[in-house]
Amino acid sequence: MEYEDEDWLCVTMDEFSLATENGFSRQMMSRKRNYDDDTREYKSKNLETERRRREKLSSRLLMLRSMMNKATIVEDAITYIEKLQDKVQNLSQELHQMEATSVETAETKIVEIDAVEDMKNWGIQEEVRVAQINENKLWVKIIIEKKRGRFNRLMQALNNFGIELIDTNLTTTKGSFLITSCIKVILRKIKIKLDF
Amino acid sequence: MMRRRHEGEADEGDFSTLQEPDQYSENLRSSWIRRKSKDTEVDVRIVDNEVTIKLVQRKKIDCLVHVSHLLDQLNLDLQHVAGGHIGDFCSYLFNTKICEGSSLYASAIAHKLIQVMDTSFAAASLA
Repeated sequence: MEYEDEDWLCVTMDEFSLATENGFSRQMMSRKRNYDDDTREYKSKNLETERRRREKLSSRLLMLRSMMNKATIVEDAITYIEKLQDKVQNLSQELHQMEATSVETAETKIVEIDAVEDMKNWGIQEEVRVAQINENKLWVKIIIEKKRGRFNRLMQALNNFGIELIDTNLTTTKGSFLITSCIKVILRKIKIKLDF
Repeated sequence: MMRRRHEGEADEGDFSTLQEPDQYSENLRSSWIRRKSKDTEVDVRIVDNEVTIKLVQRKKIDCLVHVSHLLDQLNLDLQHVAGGHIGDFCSYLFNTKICEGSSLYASAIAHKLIQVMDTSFAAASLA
């Protein structure tokens, strides 16, 4: 580069000296030479500048790629952390629900224990008695433990069997339910199977 | 502690008597309400922690299933049930106790009961 620059300067000096000393024709010849020399020198200059630009562009592209990769990594990390936080919240909520459920279960168990103990203490046993009144009418007497939801389940079971309760009485004594009812069987072919 | 006063209709309900602080423990909550719909009539009476419900329903639907389910939902401990069919009507009387820790208004119970009855009646008619 430096060498080339020096050559260019030398050429310029020569031309200058020739122009001052010699006539017009020599000036023309010097111009031609100048043109050729300039062309060659310009080509080399362009080539070098192009190479420099390409190198810069490639380096910048590499920089961009690396930056893109870093940004992506950071974003992925953020997303992952947020997902983990959501999981934590969901799990904590589930724990609260489980605690609530366990509390309810405990309460139910307490009630059940009390009922069972009461019945045992008083010598009361579960029983079912059925007596036919008419063709499709029966009288039933049922003694079961007093538990929450027990009566509801009994009603649902009878309803599913197609049994209609006509006159019903339920009373609570010593931790047990005493249920007496006149029932009407809608479908005759159904066999009554009550399991308690 | 004294429970919140019951909010009911103007002409019915909420006759809790005011007494001196010395007799605070004798001041019991007492309220009642009556609600009607086309085919259902409900009377609810609350004294302290006891709830008495009278239910009269036209058109025979086995309403014990729905009422027992509702009582469980409302945390009412079932004590006594009596009733049956009279002509086209079903008439039942329920005695229940409010479970500890839960509080209820007579209007809420009555409203829920009528809603359940009407819903079940609609379902039965569709079936």
